Amino acid sequence: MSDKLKILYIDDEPDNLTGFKANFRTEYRIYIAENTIQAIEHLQKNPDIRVIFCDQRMPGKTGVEFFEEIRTAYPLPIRILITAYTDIEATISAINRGNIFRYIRKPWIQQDIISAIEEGNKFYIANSMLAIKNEELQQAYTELDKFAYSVSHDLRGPLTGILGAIDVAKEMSDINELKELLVLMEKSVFKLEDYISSMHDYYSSRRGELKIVDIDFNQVAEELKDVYRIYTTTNKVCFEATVNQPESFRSDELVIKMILNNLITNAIKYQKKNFENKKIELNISVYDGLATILISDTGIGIPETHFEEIFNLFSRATSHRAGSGIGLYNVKGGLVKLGGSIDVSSVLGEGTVFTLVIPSK
Amino acid sequence: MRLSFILIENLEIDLYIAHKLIKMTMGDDIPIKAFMSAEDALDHIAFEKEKKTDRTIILLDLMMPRLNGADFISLFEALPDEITNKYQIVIVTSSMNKAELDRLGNKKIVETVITKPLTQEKFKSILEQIQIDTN
Repeated sequence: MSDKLKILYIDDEPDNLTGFKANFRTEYRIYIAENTIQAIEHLQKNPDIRVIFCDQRMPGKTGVEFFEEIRTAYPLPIRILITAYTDIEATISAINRGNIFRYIRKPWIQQDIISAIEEGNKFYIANSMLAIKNEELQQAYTELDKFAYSVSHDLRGPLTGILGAIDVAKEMSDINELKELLVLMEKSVFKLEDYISSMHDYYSSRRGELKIVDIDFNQVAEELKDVYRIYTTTNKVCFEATVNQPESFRSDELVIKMILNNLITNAIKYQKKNFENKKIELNISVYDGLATILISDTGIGIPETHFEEIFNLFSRATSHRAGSGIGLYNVKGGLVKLGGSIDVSSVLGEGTVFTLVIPSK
Repeated sequence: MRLSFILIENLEIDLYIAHKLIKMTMGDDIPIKAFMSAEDALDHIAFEKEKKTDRTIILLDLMMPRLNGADFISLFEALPDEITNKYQIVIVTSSMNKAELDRLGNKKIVETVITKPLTQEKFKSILEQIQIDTN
């Protein structure tokens, strides 16, 4: 019953109402109302009513007036006027004021009603799709705005830094000072490169289709260790990975790697300075079609008030070592695509643990 | 007139450049205090930890995580006059948001707005604007 289209019929003659209900109750879910007050009650209780039929000639209020009244509060249902008179004036005002989809002449024949419902429903679906697309477009605009903002900071920032450094360097003669400046310039260049590669991740994770393959987490962990060996050695961070995978696991390997790369890079980046036992642990276990991944570090930690927003685009939780604000957003986006979830717990100054749960596809 | 500087900037390279430019132009003895977070700078100013000089110039970046430059200015403005009147703020930014820059630039305590990169030329123009003999 709940799958049936909901139709509302308003007429002051009870015979017409029962006749209408009897005719269409097997095909549709019919709501009937003797007056507009009852009709509005139905609309309040059933916001998913698709098509409204209303008689033009009723005591107190005409069908056109009723449609005009409900247009703003209930814009979605398709409005169809039923009139016994070939009254051209009523029809014109129905179209202009009530913005009706169709009008049907009384006495109606079954075929007219069915065709009106079917056509009206198509129109309703098209309208709803349009609303969804509009919302998506709005979201895209918002992200574009944020992107424009971030371009001036994250792309222009490091660039102006390099330009400024060149200007100062022209006046320098001490080779050691120049070298010091070169190290800073190099950092700015790395920042730019980081930014561009995370933008790339962002677009490929948004646009790309998933490629589901068998994933061997042991191999993934070994690769990660290899990739990060240089960083963990130079930053004196101990990186340990344990994998427990007794069963097969299917997912998109690139997305999984993107997620792990972002989280491990963060774990390296946000370590405490001058701390002896820097450590990152990666723990992956696969049971009952679920991969649970723990990434814990001994880093600077994240204030609890920032837990929610760290996954937003261009949000940064720390003032000292600002990242691009895209990494964790990509992580979240990737997990959504894989149907997974992420949790964060952290103690300021002690470290952070990210817990990921990803279902096998 | 004895001058001192406070730098508020979260990018290491820009901090280094500003530091270098001030020393190159004004000599090694000029007092400079550098902050990578605006909160720390605000504490320093509010609790009057700044060395007593005739005037302190604040070179302020706008786009910083947590407390940004614009919010810093609002909080700074709320400090007692006998503190704030020793300072002049110069905004140094890579922002291209003209409306925001105009709004901040029109504030009484904001001396001028400089677009990054900060160069020797721009730094000298700042000093001229604050009407100080650079020699």
